[in-house]
Order: sequence, then C-alpha cells, then structure tokens
Amino acid sequence: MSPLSIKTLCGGALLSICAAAWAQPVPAAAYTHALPESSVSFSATQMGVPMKGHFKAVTAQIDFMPGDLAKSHVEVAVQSASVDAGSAQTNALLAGADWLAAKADPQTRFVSSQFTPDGPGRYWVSGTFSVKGHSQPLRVQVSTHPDGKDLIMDAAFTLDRTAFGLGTGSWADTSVVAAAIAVQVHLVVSPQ
Amino acid sequence: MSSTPAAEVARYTLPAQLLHWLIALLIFGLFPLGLYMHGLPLSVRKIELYSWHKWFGITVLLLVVLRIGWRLTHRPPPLPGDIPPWQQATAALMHELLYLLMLCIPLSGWALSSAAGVHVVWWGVWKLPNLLPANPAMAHLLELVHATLNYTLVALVAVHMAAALKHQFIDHDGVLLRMLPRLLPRSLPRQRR
Repeated sequence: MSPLSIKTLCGGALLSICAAAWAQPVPAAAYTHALPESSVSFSATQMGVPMKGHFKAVTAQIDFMPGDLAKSHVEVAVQSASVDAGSAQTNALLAGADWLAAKADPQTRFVSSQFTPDGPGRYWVSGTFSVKGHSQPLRVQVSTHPDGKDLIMDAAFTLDRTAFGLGTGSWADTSVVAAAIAVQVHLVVSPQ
Repeated sequence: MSSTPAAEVARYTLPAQLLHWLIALLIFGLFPLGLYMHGLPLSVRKIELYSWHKWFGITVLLLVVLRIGWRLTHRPPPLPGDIPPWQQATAALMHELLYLLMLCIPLSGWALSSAAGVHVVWWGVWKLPNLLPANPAMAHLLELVHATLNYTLVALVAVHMAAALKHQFIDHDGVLLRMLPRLLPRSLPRQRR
C-alpha cells in the first residue's frame, strides 16, 4: 500500500472511533434484565446519628420499555433477612420481629402499576410498596440514564416507618430512631 | 515552721475550682455509665445511654481543654512551704498525668466511635467529623485503649483523692482547701506538731 493510502486508512479509522465515542447510545426498545450491581440501600437517624444499610439479596423483574410506558412493569424485591446495617447484632435486630419480621414476611417489595413521563429520562412511577405484611401505595420519581448498552434507574423516597410497624415495642419511640427512613434504589438494567 | 490559717490559704482561682469539680463530677458519672452500658444487649436503652455517654464525654473534653488553657495562663497557688520537694514533684507529675488522661480518654472514645462507623453527634445536633475511617480491627483496638486509659485514670484519681485527704486531715497543711472556695471551712483547727 502507498504511504498516502495508509495515512488515509488510519485517519479514517481514527475518525470512526471518535465518531463512535461521541455518538449517543441508542436506547433499547426494552430492558428486561436487572444486573447484580443493582442495590437497595437505606438511611435512618438514631438520636441524631446517621446510620446506613442495604439489602444484600435484591431481585428485580424488569419490563421497561421507554417507548411503551403503558406496558412497562417493574418489580423490585429484597429478602428482608439479607439486611446489612454494619453489625451482626444490628442485622439480627432489624430482621427480627420488632422490625422487618423477616420470618413472617420474607420479602420487602415494590410493584409498579403506572409509568408517567416527567422530562427526558425521568418518570413518575406509581405502585404498591409492601413490607412486614403492610402494603401502601407509593409514587416515586425515577431518573434514568444510559450506561453503554445498559440503563441506570435511580429512585429515592422517604417512608414513615410507623406506617408499616417497623420498630415496635420500645422501638416505636421516634425520639430514639426517627420515623423517616430514606430509601435509595439503584437498578442497572440491560436489554435481553 | 509556721502554719497558715485556713482563711489565709492561697487558693486556686474560682474558674479553676469550678472546672475541677465539674469535670470530676462528670467523670464520676461517665465511668460507671460506660461500664454499665457496654454490657447491655442492643436495645433502645443502650442507644440512649451510649448517646448520653458520648454527649457528656465530648462536654468533658471541651471542659478539659478550657481547664488546660486556664492552667497554662494562671499559675496555681504555691504549695505550703513545709511539703517535701519529692512530694511536690510527685504532685506535679500526678496532675500532668491526669490532664493527659482526661484529654486522651474522650479522644479515644471519639476515635472508637469513628472506627465503629458511628458518627458522634454532640447533643444529637452537632455532627463531629470522624477521627478515622470505619475499621472493625481499629475499633476493637480502641475499645481496649479506651478501657485501659479509663482504669488508669481511676487508679490515679484514687491516689489523687487519697493524697488530698492525707494532706488535709493528717498533715493539716491546708492543701485541699486550695481547691475549695474561701467560704468553707471558715477555719480549721491545726494540730501542733
């Protein structure tokens, strides 16, 4: 090959790579698979001290179609017994009868019923949140952004633990553990 | 050798006295509180007691800093002249050790909480920065440090109190009066040697 055509070839290749890098990823028609990097975490306050935790066992059934919200459906569940708040003692307490009562109701879950668009990549998702045998309607704002071929879906909401009987007996005292529990859901979903 | 009537004993300044007794009172409460709360199973009571312990502990830290600042800027009253030099030196060393322990103990507690991944939030309002990152091995070590320093403090305080009482009621040299306000006692009969 002549030196000029090699240069052209290399220049062309370089341009193509740059173009590929700059190009916006094309959103998939449907995201149906939640990756293990997905997480459900929470933060609470006890006597002014912030405490954090997460659930180690997260499962999600995803059928998210940005182009067909009416048919989209998301179900996120955690195994209540997989709660991890930093110490074995605390974890045992939280999984126990006064808190999550994992033996009686092994799963904490959110099941969506409706997706409403709210700007580019943002949706209001209505559904039902269930924990410890209690169910309540819940509406969360979900923001999404692409990550390569995958999609990141983030939602945050605050729940009143007293509405779900989380923390009974002496734990009902909200001056010790505050009523507001902040929950953060981070789903990494991929097309089939 | 002459004796000084109680009414004329050179005394510590009032701020020094107030800080001394206030810190002593708080430490006398914090020590048994720490021992008791440590053995509790996880419960609302345990969370409450740990919080109170940390709140008062940080308060002691601040008071000790104030006390040290005052001490550095205000010379203590001279000791009665007939106290042997070795006793004066021992007293000075004792007091330095007490200051050191009273600083290190709340700091070690704060570090312990940090290493355990629990922020110290003073009076539930002011969030103090963690002194070190969360680290279970460090937390375990700092638990031992905090306990050891505390037991050392208790031992030294016992000697400190015994010495003060010895000087006051056996030697009758008015040493204890130096840390008491001028009101009491009005006068203390001194035995002739």
